[in-house]
Parts: sequence; C-alpha cells; structure tokens
Amino acid sequence: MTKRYGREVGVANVSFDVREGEVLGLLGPNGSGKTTLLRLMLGLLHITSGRIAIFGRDVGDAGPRLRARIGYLPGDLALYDQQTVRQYLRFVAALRRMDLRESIEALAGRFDLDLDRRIGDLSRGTRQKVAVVQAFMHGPDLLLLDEPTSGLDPIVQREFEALVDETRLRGATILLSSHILAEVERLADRVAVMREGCLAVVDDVAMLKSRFTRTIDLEFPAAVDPEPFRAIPGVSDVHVARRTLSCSVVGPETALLREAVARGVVGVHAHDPSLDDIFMRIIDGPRA
Amino acid sequence: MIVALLAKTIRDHRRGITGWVGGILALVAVQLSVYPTVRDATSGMRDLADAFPEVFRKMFRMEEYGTAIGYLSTELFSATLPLIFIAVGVTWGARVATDEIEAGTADVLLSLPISRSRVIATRIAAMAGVVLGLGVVLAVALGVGAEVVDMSVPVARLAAASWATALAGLAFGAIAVLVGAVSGRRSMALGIALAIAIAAFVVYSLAPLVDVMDRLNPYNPMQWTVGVESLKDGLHPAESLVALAFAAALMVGAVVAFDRRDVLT
Repeated sequence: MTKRYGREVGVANVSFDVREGEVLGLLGPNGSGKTTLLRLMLGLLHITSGRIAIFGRDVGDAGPRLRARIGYLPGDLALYDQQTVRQYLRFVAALRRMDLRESIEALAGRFDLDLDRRIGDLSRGTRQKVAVVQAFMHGPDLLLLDEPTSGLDPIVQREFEALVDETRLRGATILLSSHILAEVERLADRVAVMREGCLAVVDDVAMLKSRFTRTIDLEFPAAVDPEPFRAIPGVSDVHVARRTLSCSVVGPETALLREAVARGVVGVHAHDPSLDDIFMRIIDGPRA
Repeated sequence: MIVALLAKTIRDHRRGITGWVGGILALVAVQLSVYPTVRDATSGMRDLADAFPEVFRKMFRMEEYGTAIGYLSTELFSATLPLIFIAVGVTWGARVATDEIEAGTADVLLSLPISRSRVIATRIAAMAGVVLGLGVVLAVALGVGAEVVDMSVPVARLAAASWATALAGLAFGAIAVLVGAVSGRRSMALGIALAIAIAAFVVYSLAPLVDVMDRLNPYNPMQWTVGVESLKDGLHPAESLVALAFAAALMVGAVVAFDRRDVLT
C-alpha cells in the first residue's frame, strides 16, 4: 500500500502480512508512518494505491462489518470531556450495538478506573486507561493499538501487558505501535520496523537484536585485562576505563559473559541498538 | 445506534438550543407586547412609516406598518427572524462535519461499526430537526401571542411564514454543512456560509431597487424562503420545494464528501 497526501508520502510501497493470533510490533521513530498505517487499516484514511485486506475482506468494501471485529486505541487520544467515563464507554458500546456493561465493569475494576468521574477531570494516564478499556471491552478479534502505554505508570503498564497476553491467548491478533524497543520486545512475537514511510519486516525481536551491534559495559571489582575479551568472536571495540570494560557485540553473548563471569564481573549493562541503527542495517542488508 | 448518536448530538447542543428557544420566545414576546400600542396609534405610525424615504421602505418591506401583517413583516420576518434562523443553521451546520474531526474524537467514533454516511446523515438530521423545531416554536409562540394581543392574522399564515423562515436557516445551514464536509474546517465552513448568506441578503434587500439584483434574485435562497412573503398569501409550495431540494442536494453532497475525505489527526 501507498498513501500520499498531495506530494507528501505517508507510507510508500509498504507490504506485509499479519498472522492470525500473533502480536506484531510496529516499531519506528515518531513520524515514521506507524499511525498512518493503522489509520489506513481502519479506513480513517483512504489508500492512494494498493490494497488492504483484513480477515480476507477488503477494508474499503467491508467497512462497518469489519470494524465490528476491531478494537482501536488511537495515539492522539481525544475523548468527550463532558461525559463521565461510564457515559462514554456506554456510548461506544451503543454504537457497537452491544451490551457491554459487565465487560466495562470488569475492565474498569482491573485498571482501577472510576466510572463516575468526568473525563475532562482525568489525568493523561487515566484517560489512556479509558482508551484501553474502550479498545478491549468488546472482545475484538483484531486490536490496533497506537502507542498504547504512553502516559501509563509502570504498574498499569504491567497490567496492560498482562491484558495483551490474555488477549493473544484467546486467539486475537494484535498490532501494536511503539517507539520503544523494549516495550515491543516484551509484547510482540514479531516486529516490523518503519522509517520515513518505508517498512521492513523482521521475524523475531530477539533475532533482530542479535543481528545488530549492541554495546555492553562490564564492571569488575578491579582493573581488568582487555586482551582475552578481544579474542572472543563477535566482540570488537574493547576499551577499558578504570574498572569498566566496554565492547561491541554481534551475535550470541554467551562467550563474552562466560569470560566476564570467570573474572568476577559485578555488573552488566547492555545498550540496545537504536531504532535508526536497526533500520539502516535492515535496509542496507545484514552487514554485521 | 443511530438513537445513541442522535441523542448525544442533541445533548451536546442543549445549551445552544435552550438559548435559541429563549431568544425566539423573548423576541416574539417583546415585539407582540408592543403591537397594541402600534395598532392604537395606527395613523401616527403610518405617518412615521411614510416619513421614511421610499428606498428604505422598499428595502425593509415597510409597507402597511400599521396593519398586523405589515407590523410582523417589518419587525420580525423581513430581517430579524431570518437572520436568527440563518445564524442557527450556519453555526450548527458548520459543526456537523467538522467538530469531531477538529477535536480528534472522530478517531474512535469512525473506528466503530457505523458507516461514515450514517454518522454525518444522523448529525445533519439533528441539525435539520432542530432548525425546523425552532420554526415550530416560533409558529406556536406567534400563534399564542397573536391570540393574546388580539392580532387578526390567521394561524396558517403565521405557520407558513415560520416555515419559510426555518427553511432559510436550513438552506444556508446546508451550505455550511457542505463546506465543512469538503474542507474539514469549521472556521472555513462558518466563514464561507456567512459570506454567502450576507451576499444573498444584500441581493434580496436591494432587489426592489437595483435591476441587477432583481435579475439575480430568482436564484437566491433568500427569495425562495423569506422573499415569498408567506404572511400575506400563505404557503408557497413551489418555492418551498425548491429551497428543500437545494438544501437536500447540498446535504447529499456533504455526505459524499465526508465519506471520501481522510480523517487526519
């Protein structure tokens, strides 16, 4: 699919499959086209060329019937400030032609959400909880979640992750966008990386990471000799500064860690590759 | 599903609706309460009306100011009421296709299993229902008021004039709906529809005086509605139908445009 706004390109020649029952992470910096992709799938935006089919049906034709099976959590969250949380969720349920009172109560209880408060009085994080409940309450077969954890505190984030896991276990498919690698890593089976409207799909998050250079800092009780580390395959750029040894690693970290443990390592700090880094390497081919 | 959306639309506008109803009732009450004084001083009033230059009398349809119909026409139906109804139609119409998009709430709304055409058609219906409902309020207020101050105007004429006035609101409101659906911007819908309404009003007002305006006037929604002078000779079905068809065509255009547009954040 391709989406242009006049001369500007939203997404260009993006093509991918999502498997039924998987969690696919859409990863990319802000403005990379993740939101555009999700909005195209909902029909909020009309495609310039190409085709999107969900559950075997064309998005353009199937419209409302398809959306009955989808839950959407928008990235740019806007709710009706005058309504209470309960009024809002019941309004959404009415437009879904469903009686979701039980499900609303259950999810609100789970996320500690007061249904009688006015939405306009809620904090950013609480509004995000409302959006989460709104997206999950009808038990959709497909969830399109745009930056779902933004504004959520760590405890609520964990609850959200548990909800995503349960939803996947009952067989639903989830597309989840984020600009945080660690979050996608925790939740997603596969990850698609986007940058400047283009996309490359990589099968597996761990595989993706291991294919690229990570920086690892090892702390030792005393100054350490860098030479044995330089000899380990896949390890490069070894530097020692006082009691800390820094190096770059490609592929498995087993040998490096074994050597470190043998020398009494007291701390390990791994730095994930940046998204830009990953993307550049994906489109350049696996040089590492 | 439609009911929920309709109810929400009306509820969102309840303050505005209350205000417009109150305004119309107050206006009718004030104007009618003054009428007995005018009637009792008919000759003086006729002199007063005659004292205005002919240009003014024509522009503001000031003929027969001393009669009940002349009084209602001059004080209410020639300018004040049409402008109120056009203001209601245009301000509400401008929001029909734009406010949820501008507020960002359209994202969730349009991700639900309801077609866009239904969403906007429901909102158009709410706007049309309220404009026509205000027409009913006006007709009832005038009917009751006329009875109270002993004004000899048939209720059917009051109803016909109220209907024509409400149609003016609907026609210009429809322009705002269409511009909003095409542009997605409330300010643009408001601006363009008001500009057209003002131009239409100028053409209608100057038609008796300026030849060019007179030739343009048959194509003027203001003429089809306010210009037919329903107070004098009752309902004008042909002009009403033209105005309704005009509004309906613009609204259908708005539905199509809204369906095709991108909902941007």
